[in-house]
Amino acid sequence: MANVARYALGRLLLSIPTLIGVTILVFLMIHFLPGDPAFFLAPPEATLEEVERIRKSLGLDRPLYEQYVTFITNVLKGEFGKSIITGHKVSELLWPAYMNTLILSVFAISISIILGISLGVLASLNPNTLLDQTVMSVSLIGVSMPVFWLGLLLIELFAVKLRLLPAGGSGSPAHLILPSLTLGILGSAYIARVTRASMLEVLNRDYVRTARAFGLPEWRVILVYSLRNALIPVITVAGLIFGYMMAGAVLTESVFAYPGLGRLIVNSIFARDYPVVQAGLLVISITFILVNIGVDILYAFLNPKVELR
Amino acid sequence: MISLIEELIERKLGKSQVRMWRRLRRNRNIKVGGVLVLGFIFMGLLAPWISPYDPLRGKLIESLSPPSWKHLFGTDIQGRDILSRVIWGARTSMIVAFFSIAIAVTAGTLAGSVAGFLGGWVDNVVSRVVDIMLALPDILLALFVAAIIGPGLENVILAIALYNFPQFARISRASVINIKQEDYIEAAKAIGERDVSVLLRYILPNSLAPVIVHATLRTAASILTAAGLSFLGLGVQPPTPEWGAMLSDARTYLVTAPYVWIFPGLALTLTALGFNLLGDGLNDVLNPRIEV
Amino acid sequence: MYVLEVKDLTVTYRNEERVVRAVDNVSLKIRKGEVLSLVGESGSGKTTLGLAIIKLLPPGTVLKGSIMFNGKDLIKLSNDELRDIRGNKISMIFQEPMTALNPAFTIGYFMTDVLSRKLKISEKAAKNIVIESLRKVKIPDPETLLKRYPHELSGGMRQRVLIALALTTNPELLIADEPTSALDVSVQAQILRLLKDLQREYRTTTIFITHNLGVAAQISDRLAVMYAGKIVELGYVKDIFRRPLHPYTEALLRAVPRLGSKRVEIEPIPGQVPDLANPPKGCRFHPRCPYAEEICKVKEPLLKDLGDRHIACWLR
Repeated sequence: MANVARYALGRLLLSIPTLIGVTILVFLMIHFLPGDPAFFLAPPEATLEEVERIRKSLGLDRPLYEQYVTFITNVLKGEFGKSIITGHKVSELLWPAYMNTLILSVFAISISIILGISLGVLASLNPNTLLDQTVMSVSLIGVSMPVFWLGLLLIELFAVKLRLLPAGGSGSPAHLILPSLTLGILGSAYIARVTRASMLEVLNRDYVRTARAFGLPEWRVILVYSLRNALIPVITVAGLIFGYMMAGAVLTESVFAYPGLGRLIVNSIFARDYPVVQAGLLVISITFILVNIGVDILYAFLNPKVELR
Repeated sequence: MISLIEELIERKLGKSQVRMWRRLRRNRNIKVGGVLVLGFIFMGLLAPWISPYDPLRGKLIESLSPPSWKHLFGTDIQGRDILSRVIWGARTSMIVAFFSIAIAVTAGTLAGSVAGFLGGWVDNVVSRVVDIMLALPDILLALFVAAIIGPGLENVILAIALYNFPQFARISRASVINIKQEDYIEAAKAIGERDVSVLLRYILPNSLAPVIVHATLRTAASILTAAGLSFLGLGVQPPTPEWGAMLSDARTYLVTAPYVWIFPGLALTLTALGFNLLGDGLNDVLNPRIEV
Repeated sequence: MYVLEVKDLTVTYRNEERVVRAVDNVSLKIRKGEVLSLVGESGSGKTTLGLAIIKLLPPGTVLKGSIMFNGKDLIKLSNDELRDIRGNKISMIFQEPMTALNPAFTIGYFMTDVLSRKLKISEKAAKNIVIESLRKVKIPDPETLLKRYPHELSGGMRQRVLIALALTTNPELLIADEPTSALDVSVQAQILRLLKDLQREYRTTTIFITHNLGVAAQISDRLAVMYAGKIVELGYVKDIFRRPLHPYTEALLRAVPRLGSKRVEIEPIPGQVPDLANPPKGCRFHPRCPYAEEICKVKEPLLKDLGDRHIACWLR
């Protein structure tokens, strides 16, 4: 246990430069834009004087590193500034959207894990049979399919033809079903493949033979003495996929007009609402990095032989 | 004709390469994937000649007509032939995929190999940078780029190249470090071969296998990412035919004209499938695992 | 009288497109309480024979013949009946203790799980039995060991654990597949001594598989020499060592350095172990046999019963 805590600490420390790097990147985003940053942070119809006022109030005339420090302090306080378009505080737009994406990702990853592990285990227990090849082929197609196309297909099937579920928007649990299903199916393709590969490897190990040699019931040999070992890489992949879902749900959210963070960022990019874009990218990037760190720590916890690089 | 190729390989590259060629030919993933990939490449290369109509011009009177003998895949809202747009879309995807992966592989392999070979502070610096770059997923990085320099074909290529660069740097670095320790490298150095020569003649060729496999698989992913960006409106801009963008129009005609989005999506899936199969097959042949 | 009777056992499996006969028409009988060693080089079929008895061969392996145990033919038993026998009436320990135990479970968990199921007792009762059996294999402080994971133990310790697990149910037959080969030499001696002591105490009928004649000599009553899937010589250890009859056995003995003998050099056996998908015609050993004659190259010698000795050779 102490080992894991030490590893966790080390891993967090190691990732500090990355986290700082990302914040710098987001911060500099405004300054990379061709032109005067003040113009980008001011409402579109602002007069020259208003722009000057904004420039002073946002401290854009200060040296870069000072601006960065202000930026970071504000972020840590939860202050992301005001949306150019709506005039509201960015945080008011940000957190509900973030929560929506989080909910979506949680549902989706649950579907992926349940579906993916079951299919993967089934395939591994009957290698090279029709079942196995079907599972593998279908999962390969799943991995090759664009997520937004799958979404459209599901909408066509469930919302249009069968009229079972809403095609988009939000407001009820029913609105979650199709988007989670879309992301979940894609995720399960990856997880099924990893589970199958991992189980096949584990089933060949000596310790599984030992379990059989001592006459343990077959269901126990598979579900207890093999699965536990095989799931270690699977869980870590699932964690990574969860990170990708959080960060990349933007396509799914677009298809289903789901009010998540990805959609908010994209809409803000089009509207040139830079404070929102900045805040959104920052929050999602940090989430993704933290999820990855979490996955590493989880792996260290599950596999006692891991060492810090 | 096949035997002619085999003879050529044997004479120029040696017997073991013929065996490799045979193994490649036999692998089913490579065969199916290869066919799909070649089909895709030919579609893209020969688009101007095999496309039945001009992808950019349509007769409004024919807007949204379902598949018929005249228009095999139907027409979109502007009356443009969908089949032609799908064919030309292959060209767009091909350009994006080729350039972005080529840049990523070249720059990445260079950086990674040099870092792995030289070690020391060079390795440290490069590894740090690569680690930071690996911290973000592709969509996110692409959104960053789109937010800063705007949408467009070149920017998509840049974003995708940027995302893939650290992956290839890492792979080639690991490869090089592995091979560096092999005996025949020591031998080469012992007889006085210069570092650059050792790198180019021995290390690089032997570290190519994982790079080739990964490049193939990443091509599949890049095509999908580029399509995704275009779908959002941040990638290739209209009226250039692009599969992802074609799916974006589809949202409006979901019910009335499913053929508008089914065919481009199918094209995307089959192309990505081709590259994935090819990559899997190459992996089986080039990186054989010992089966128990 | 006979715990196990193997009759005309043949084990074949397919390797890519070739059919390999790992065990070819082998017959043997084991008496209660005796230790029989199967000796041979790798590829001789000794491990396959051991695995065949307990039916732990990979899927796709074909078994012909009969293995009679307790009046039943093991080859014909159902999976459920076999599972009942394994770990209970027939126990097996393997060669690689380092990989034999599941790294994700503590020793205590695995042992109590097995024993509570095999002995049909509660987990609490099983725990006590586990501790007792660990003591029997000379493990100091068994209570602490229960909470340990396999990777925290040395090879020798892991092998003791496996031996304890194998013997606690008082099996009618123990199959030991090279239990010491993967251990350091000093540990080998310890484990071997442990096995001998346990054998003396419990008189467990044992099949001991090894490539090491010296080890076989120390622990067994009888010896079966295997070559290329067949038994070429079978007899009491002392008899065989004093007067080996089969040329292969002779060559094996010559290849082992012995103190007190007048020979100074070790003589390796010329040639290589044959390909079991395509064995030599006639006597399988003839390409490497210094006494080979015409008949050896053509006809396969059957195992002749000379009383206490069985030999498969045309010349003896």
